[in-house]
Amino acid sequence: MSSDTPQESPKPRPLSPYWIYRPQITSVTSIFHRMSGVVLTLGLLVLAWGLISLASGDLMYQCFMKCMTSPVGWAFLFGWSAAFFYHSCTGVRHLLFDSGLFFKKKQAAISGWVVLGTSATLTAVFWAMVVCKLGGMS
Amino acid sequence: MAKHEYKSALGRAIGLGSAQHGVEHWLAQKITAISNLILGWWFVISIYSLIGASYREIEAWIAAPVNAVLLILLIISAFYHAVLGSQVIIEDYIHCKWLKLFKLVGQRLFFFALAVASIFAILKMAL
Repeated sequence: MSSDTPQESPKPRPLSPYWIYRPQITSVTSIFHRMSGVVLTLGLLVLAWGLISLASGDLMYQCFMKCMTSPVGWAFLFGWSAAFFYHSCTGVRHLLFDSGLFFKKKQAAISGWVVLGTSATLTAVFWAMVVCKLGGMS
Repeated sequence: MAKHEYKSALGRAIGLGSAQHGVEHWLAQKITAISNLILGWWFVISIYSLIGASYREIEAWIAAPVNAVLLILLIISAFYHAVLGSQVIIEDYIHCKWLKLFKLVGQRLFFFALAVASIFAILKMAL
């Protein structure tokens, strides 16, 4: 800044708690809830695209399906489904929080891990079922 | 009135905080959360059952009254919930006043238009 700045490096200013807190299960599940909500919203745009292409006839629908079964399409579908299972699990947790349940520190931490485990299991089971069904058809 | 109650009786009855709004946003988010939970799971199971279906089969599935109605409900409920959620995210992370206003209005118009287009597509196939 100006010339009267002392030679030694200035004492670091205190950081916002936002930056210095160690990630905790409660904060991580919270930001993931928000991020999965964004992914679900993007998926909603794809759902609208799918419905509109379905209504536009077979040709448009085939084009849509070609996009969905491309590597990017499959990756999107996986992410969308994972976001759905996660967001619906944490959503139930939030509804319980709002009714005053599981709001103790320990309960909130445990339910966070339960939600992570449940949504991972649901995603894995769902895709195992999808792969089995696709395998049975070919 | 309780000893530590600073609100006037009227303020308490109206039930609004200093922001003058917010309760309806919260309530709408909760109600659409519950309907999304039901409709979302129905949708995931339906998509699974439709794996490998031809264009005609999918069209016939959407044309069934129960499916058409549930799909339209899903579109309304999910888009409504998405608008409320995006609003909170925009309010939290965008601090430039005009950009914020632009995005808040823009996302509402955009999602509303897309929801109407989706519902029209469903009706076109169902009717």
